[in-house]
Amino acid sequence: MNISFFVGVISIMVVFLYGCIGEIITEKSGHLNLGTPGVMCFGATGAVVGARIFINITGGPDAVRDGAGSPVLGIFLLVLFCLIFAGIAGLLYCFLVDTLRCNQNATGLVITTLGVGIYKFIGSILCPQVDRHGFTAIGRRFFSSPLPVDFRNSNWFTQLFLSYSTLVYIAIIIAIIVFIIIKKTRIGLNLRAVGENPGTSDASGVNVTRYKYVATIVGSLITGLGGLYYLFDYNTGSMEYSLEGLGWIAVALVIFSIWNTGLAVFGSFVFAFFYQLPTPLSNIIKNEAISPLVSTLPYLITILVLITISIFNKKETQPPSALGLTYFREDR
Amino acid sequence: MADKVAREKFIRISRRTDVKLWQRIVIIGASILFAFLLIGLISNIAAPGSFLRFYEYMFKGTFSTPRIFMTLLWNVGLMLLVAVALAPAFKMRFWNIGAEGQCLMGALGAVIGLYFIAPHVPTFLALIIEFLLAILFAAVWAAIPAIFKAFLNTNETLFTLMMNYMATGIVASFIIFNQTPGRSGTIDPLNSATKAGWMPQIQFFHNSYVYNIIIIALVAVVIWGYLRFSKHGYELSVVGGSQNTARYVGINVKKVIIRTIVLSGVVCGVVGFLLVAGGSHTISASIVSGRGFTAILVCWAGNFNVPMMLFYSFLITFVSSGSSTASSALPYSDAISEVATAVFFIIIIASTFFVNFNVHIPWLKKLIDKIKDLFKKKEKEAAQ
Repeated sequence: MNISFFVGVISIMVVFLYGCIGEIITEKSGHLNLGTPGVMCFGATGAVVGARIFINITGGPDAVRDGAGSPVLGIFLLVLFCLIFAGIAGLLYCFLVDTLRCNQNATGLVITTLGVGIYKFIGSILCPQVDRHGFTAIGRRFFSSPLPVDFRNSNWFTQLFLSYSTLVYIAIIIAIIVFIIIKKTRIGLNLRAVGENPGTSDASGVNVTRYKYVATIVGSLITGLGGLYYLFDYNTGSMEYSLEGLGWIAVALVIFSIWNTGLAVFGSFVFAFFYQLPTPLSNIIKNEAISPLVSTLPYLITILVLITISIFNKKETQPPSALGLTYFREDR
Repeated sequence: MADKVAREKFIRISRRTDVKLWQRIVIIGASILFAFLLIGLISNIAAPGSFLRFYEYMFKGTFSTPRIFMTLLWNVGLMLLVAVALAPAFKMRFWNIGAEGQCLMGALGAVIGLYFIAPHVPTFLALIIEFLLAILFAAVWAAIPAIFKAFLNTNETLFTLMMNYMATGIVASFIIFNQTPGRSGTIDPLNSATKAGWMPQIQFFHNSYVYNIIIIALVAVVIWGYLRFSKHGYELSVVGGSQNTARYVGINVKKVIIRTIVLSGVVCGVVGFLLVAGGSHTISASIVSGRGFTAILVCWAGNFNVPMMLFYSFLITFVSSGSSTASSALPYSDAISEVATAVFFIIIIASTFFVNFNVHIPWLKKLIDKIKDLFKKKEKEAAQ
């Protein structure tokens, strides 16, 4: 295991981190959004749509490959459409769960099916063949390039901590900001109250529906960025449809980080470590049957965490107590 | 201001309990029609002008020959059986999201029987052993989260969800460990020369799924009766209604939780057994192919009621395999079947709102009243 292994771990960890932060915000409001993998796919779909629009504006894939088109416009379009799509997914979830009072599990699973389907469907229409449409040029030029800082002498420190693209650092900044908002501000307090006991929050004058809507949509926006990051940064724009599994890891990660975005940074590193482990491990142990078992380790750890928090039953480490329950004011 | 009037709400929603059967049928029928229309429109957007042809291909892919129709029935049966497995758990408000993993573990049990035992014993015995192994594996897999739920109140939704991926990993590892020599990561159908441990097949319209469908029907009827008429079925619905109530009337809640989920696992085990012994005679990590998740939607939409679940299983299998056939003739990808499934369920799930709730729109009512008044005035004027 060398530095490049850990660089790979940190690169993939960011996908989990975006998904996890988004889902933590959502779950804090009492919504167990099992649609997280779908929302991620929605984000990626949005990015694909944005990329296609950018390419059409700039005048074809070849022009983009040759360096035409302003990076600001490109990044703006991709991020904008990514956020719009992810936001729509979050809005749909909220509308079904809050306004139409559907079951959260069923709704979440439907959003996942829809997201995965739409991602493949629109992806295959807008980009039928790998990189015929200059997506990799967009990925390479605008997203996966490292920070524009020139290090005279690159050593292990710069490689391990400073060699990533902007979205990696943004994820960590978002994690810290969300941590502070949830733990230290009035908005965060109200949000947690809504997730713990919507009835009481409602009685004390908090607009429960608004909190749930805003939290879920903001959460979905962040989750969607994970999809954009995976497709155009981690994968440098070559179409790849295996986002769903990464989304489920993000859902598991929420439990591992006991609903705390600060811990999520550490947790996503641990999960990414096990996610990447089979590759170097296969060089040491010459048995292929081991690697699927190793890749279940994140889930096993999650189960152990789930059991542990239910044994100790400490208030601070529990899931939000109204998690998964639909709130209807007139039900008493 | 002292004379501030309480602001009337823009829209008000109240729970309704007086839905008549015909109203329910109208709501469900309308939403199904709407869902089908929407799916056709999606197809039309992706391939302009394909609106009507899409439905034509849908029917072609599901009803055109007896053989295709029997395959449809087999898929309907599998979907129904997974949904039936989930019904007792859901009725108890135990959110078992782990049917995918439980079926997969059942399939693993059946494959172990098929691989290691079937070549050495008569087929009848082999089938029984496979069956028992399948339901044992699946029941244990379901029991683990249930025990933790019963004793420690561990969140079962997340626990069962994780168990799915554990199962996938274990099965993937098993496959690589026992892969057919020369193949990477697959096991060829086992015992295909001797057919040892295979479900007996009778030919019916060129189709070999007849016994499977009979078994599915039997299990579905048994579970339907269990939920509807047995004391166990009553107990689990009380636990689902309120655990405290159940405790006060002397129901052992822990026992009921574990018993019900083990039953849920056993039925998932039957699915695994049928997939292996009556279907592919081998295993792959994707053998359940998402039925565990879709069945959750079927079960929810069918309101834990077996005949309704059969209805939805049929519709959703028709939608997904029909649209999949359409995609092979029309210029878009196979993913339309996932999109169609999701759109279908979104509409169905959303429509339950109109079954369970009344919508009051005060301003609209006022508006209608005003218009009515206007008409009455005019009528009076005309009469005068």
